[in-house]
Amino acid sequence: MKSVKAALFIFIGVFVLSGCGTTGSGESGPTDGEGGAGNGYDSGASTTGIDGGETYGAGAYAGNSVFDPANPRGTRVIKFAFDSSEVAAEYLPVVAAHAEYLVANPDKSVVLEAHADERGSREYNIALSEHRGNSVADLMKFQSVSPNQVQVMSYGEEKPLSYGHDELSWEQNRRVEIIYFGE
Amino acid sequence: MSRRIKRKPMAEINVVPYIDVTLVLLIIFMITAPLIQQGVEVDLPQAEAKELLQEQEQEPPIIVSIDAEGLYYMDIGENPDEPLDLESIKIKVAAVLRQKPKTNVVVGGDSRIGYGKVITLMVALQTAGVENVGLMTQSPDTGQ
Amino acid sequence: MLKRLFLLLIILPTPVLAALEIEITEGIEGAAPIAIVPFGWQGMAAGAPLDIGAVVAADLSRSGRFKALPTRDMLTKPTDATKIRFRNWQALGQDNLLIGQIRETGAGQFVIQFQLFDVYKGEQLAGYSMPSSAKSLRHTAHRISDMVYEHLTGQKGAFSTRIAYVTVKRLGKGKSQYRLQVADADGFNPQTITTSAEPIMSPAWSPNGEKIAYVSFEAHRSAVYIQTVFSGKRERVSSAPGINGAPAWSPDGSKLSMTLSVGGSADIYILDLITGSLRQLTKGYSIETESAWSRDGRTIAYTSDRGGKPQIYQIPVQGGKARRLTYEGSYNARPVFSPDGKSLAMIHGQGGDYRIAVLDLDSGLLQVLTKGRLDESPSFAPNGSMILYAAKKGERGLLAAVSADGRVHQKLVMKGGEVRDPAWSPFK
Repeated sequence: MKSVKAALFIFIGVFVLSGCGTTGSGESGPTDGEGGAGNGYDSGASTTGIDGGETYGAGAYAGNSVFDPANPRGTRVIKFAFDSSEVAAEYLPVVAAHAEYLVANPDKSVVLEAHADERGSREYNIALSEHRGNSVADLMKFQSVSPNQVQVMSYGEEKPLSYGHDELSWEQNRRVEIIYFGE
Repeated sequence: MSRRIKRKPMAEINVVPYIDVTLVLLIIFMITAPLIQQGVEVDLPQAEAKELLQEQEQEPPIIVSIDAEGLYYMDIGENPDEPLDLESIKIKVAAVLRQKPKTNVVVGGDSRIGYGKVITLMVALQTAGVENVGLMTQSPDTGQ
Repeated sequence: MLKRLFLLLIILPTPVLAALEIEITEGIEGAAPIAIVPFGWQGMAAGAPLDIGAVVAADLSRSGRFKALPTRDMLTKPTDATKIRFRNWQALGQDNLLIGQIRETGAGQFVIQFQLFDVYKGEQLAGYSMPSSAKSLRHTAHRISDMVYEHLTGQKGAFSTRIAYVTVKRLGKGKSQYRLQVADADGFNPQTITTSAEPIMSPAWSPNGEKIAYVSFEAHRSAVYIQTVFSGKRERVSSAPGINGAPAWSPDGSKLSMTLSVGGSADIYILDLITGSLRQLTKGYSIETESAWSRDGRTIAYTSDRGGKPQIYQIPVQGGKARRLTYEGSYNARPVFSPDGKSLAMIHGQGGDYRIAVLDLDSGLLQVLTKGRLDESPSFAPNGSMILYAAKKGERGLLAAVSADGRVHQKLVMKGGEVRDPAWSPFK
């Protein structure tokens, strides 16, 4: 009986000793694997975020916001850089085309709905979007559009086109929309 | 030439006696380990008497006592003079250990009760999560 | 029969659907252990109408300064002081013990009595008895939390205060429903005080906690309203052309500062609520907005981009030279003074992340408290212990709170909607 016990101890002892080696080398394996899996998860998550953003806004609005030189007045959305209210050079013909139309049709008038992306504070974004609206309005007034024909409405980050939290969505949301009365 | 042939096996260490010694040491440790624990339990009352006193100032131990009739009592709970079953002792001890894992538990058994009663209690305490059970040399309940 | 059922449906109070749920995401290591025994019950019904002990335990745990003992670990559950054996609570390592009783004195009338003990000294620290109606039981529980908190920390408790916030429900086709709601500080009892199809923003409590000023676009343009919370009566105080936004009350409640752009660009104006006179405080083409009154009512801190980027400035209420307060980071906005007036919480943008930071006004040190990407709208608890703010997770907005030292973090999640623009009420 005792010898059997002793043999068992030896067996266990050997098992424990050899076990140490295997667990040691084995451990790095699974951890690497886990790390890989974790990374995979992360990139997966962010991709779905971007996908979501695209389906929400870009698809619906892409056609409208891309500047078409043949028909500048077809573009109704002017996009802006982050924390900037400067009208980019590519949009100057757009504003000019709308201004020309307004001068030719004094009975028409527009509302410039100005927006910001969600970053930063809400009230600051309201003020920032108003600056954007004013930039467009000022350009139009320079081209002799009557102040009565242009009205600025600033919504800040309250009415986003795209609800994602990434540059793709933010780019959609930093905008001034030119909306004609009665259209 | 013959010298070289003789020396060549010397380059490798013969690990067989090394494994032998290691395994023998391992067996000795495995056999003595439980013996050491048992020994501590027997020696506890005198050896740890001072230590407990020191700790007592901050963390008084929980005292579980057994009276002459073999009934269990605890110094915590609703009423310390009311006998308790093993299950409620386990629940109470486990609750204390969840809040203060380092709490000491000491067993005070009446000198007239059987060894088995003490062992049953200690096993119950161990399943409740107590790592070290101290033994009191005299139970406070044996006054009568 | 059907008619009667219908009537019943109308009479029955609408059930609490959109309660905020609070979860503590990160707590303090050294929270003080306190045992709160379920309160005893003496009344006609089988059980108490509200587990006051559980409400108090949740309140105190939420502060991050206390750790409530789970009831399952209690060795005994005394409800009356003569039954307490301090040894039991010492064994569980508790510092303090709270016991109490709810007694029914009449139909829907109760008396709640509670006692707070120091477990190690074995003595009573406080004992109170207060009447409560069935409706206000929860409020009474929060008041007990306040008293316990004040006794043990020396700081006034803010558990019986309220929070206002805006919820948004998207209805599809670009339509949304905005609600201005007021709830208890623990997110319970949400009540809608205004509903609109257009955005509602920037609620601000009057210093006496009776009114809320806010911005609403309900007329398809911004306007500032002041609404009495209890009666729902409201008045439009500003609807100038352009922006009407960021209302902030003076500490005495007699004036309201706002952002108007009637002069061409967003500037801060002060409206005297008694005389109705309006005075422009800041001037210039740059953006000046988000005013906040200092505790003494003599200066106003605000956001300005006069230096190119939004930063915090301070200006005397009487007008004069503005002084820049923030220099760290390229984006600092929406300042709010702490109740003791010694620091300023704000949105701090750095490296593309927008977080809540606190600026110590004496030392000029800025401490970033939160870890989100899009944190905004900080609002101090009236005792200064916590800062409530809006955060974004996924496509949703939620509320979160952080202790003023940045060690305790909580999340307030509303089911089935977005919640933003929080404002913590003052003490009553």
